[in-house]
Amino acid sequence: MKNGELIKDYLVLTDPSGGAQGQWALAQKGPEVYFLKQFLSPKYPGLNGPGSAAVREKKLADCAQFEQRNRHLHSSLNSNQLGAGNLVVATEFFRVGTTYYKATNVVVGCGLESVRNLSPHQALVVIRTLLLSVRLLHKAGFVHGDLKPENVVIQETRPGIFVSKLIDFDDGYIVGLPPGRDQVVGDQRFYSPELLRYIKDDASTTGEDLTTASDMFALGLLIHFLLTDRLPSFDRERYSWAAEAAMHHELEIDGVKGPVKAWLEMLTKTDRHERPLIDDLLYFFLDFTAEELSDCLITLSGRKLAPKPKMIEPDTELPEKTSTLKSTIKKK
Amino acid sequence: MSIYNSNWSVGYAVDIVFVIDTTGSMRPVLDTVKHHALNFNDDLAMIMAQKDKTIGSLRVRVVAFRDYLDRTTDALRESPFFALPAQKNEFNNFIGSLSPDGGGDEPESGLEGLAAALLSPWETGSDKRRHLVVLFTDASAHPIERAAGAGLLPPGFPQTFSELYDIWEGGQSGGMEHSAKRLLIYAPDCEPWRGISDLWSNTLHFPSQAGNGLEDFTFAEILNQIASSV
Repeated sequence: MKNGELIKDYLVLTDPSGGAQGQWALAQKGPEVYFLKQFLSPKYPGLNGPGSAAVREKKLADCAQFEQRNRHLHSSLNSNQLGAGNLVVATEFFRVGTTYYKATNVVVGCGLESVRNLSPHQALVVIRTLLLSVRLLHKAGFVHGDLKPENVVIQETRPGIFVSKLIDFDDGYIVGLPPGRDQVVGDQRFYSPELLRYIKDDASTTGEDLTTASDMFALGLLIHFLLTDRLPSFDRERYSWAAEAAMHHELEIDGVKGPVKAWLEMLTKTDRHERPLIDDLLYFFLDFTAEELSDCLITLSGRKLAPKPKMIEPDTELPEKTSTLKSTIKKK
Repeated sequence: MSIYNSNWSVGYAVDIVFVIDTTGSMRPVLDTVKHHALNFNDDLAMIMAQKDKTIGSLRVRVVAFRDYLDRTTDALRESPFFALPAQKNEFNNFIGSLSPDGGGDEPESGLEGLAAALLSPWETGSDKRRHLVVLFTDASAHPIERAAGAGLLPPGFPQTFSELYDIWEGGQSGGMEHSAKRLLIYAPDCEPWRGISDLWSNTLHFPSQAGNGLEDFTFAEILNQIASSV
């Protein structure tokens, strides 16, 4: 991918940048500008290309699997679904010659990594829109697999109105079907205990253990980070990562208090079966008020609440409330 | 392994093989690599930290190539892997011993250099690995079949471009893993580099001007790309 190159209908407008998984550039198609991602792998083998028949067969199989996964993700998540506007899905997935590409809408953040400097009203909207996006993925049977602040773009859609856009789930996977132990992509700061055990080749953990609950653990850490600008505390001399501390019951949700603390403690349970589902968490935050959130923020004590901005509420119907967890937690 | 095992840190082992064209015109990039070799580990760690990344263990190796068809005796020179920072002086000494010389007119033996890199004794332990090849040349490359046909290549080397491709894509090099490998090519926009970047997975080509010793790239740019690739 080069600046000025025409790829299918997309004119590349910028020098590409990127990392180990792919290259990104802004590209124009018609009047619209998109983020265009070039995947580095797999590459489609040409009929007259080099290599043995065996390698060609293997590459064709890899490409078929890659296409199926991306097309399934693309068809499962569309803009008509609840919260889809904040989940940055591909507008187009295609192959040109040997190489696969994905176009998404351009998401420009406001420069905030956390909601610490927003009002509780604004913070709640950011968290709710994040949870709606995660819910959409989970309902489609996908694990994001890389929930972290860098993949939550906080956007000021109108003056004083902030929402979160969830990006980069190219390395996500179907529930229970993660990539191989040495191929899993993610950020160790936000690993769940079962993901850590899976990577460490622990006999007690298989791919089937990697479910949406792994995302819920990461969400517990991520919400703490969003609210306080830091991860929960743990002894960094003894443990490298939050998941490791959680496995020793030494992860301390110390940046918040009250019901939010209780929820984050539930989310960061070592046993994945004890963690809330995304619906449970979403309903808690939908019912939670800015004043209640303000009461839970230890690090923001004494801060005056900003004037209540216009709230962005989900514009379509909400799912049925099926869980009793919300009332259980709120009673704590 | 108990879930209360005391060490759940995820080890990340990175192997980097620098494949360097040491023909006469490559003095600029060779001087740059020499200048930064001693502090390579620290420089990489610093830029990795800026990207919130850490490396558990780092090894580097150098494959220097010229032209088998011009002069067989010094067409290929290979170092062992050096563990950094422990062996940074040995790495620095090896880099320091390279001098830009010979090669005749292009093309050069870049594909033979690449083959030597792919056949490296890659790290196979640790929880996660990255096997990175960084190739620098300012010239096109001979078809590997020419030196192979003349019986000039070391034992075990691929004899055709197809075999070289199979090593990369099929992981037949005894340790280079499909998901771990990355190839960065700093070379002119000509064959075989253009074709390799199109056909080979996990490969990035940064086109340069032919014959100018890669003066188009600063060390900071190259280091940043290496850090992005690990």
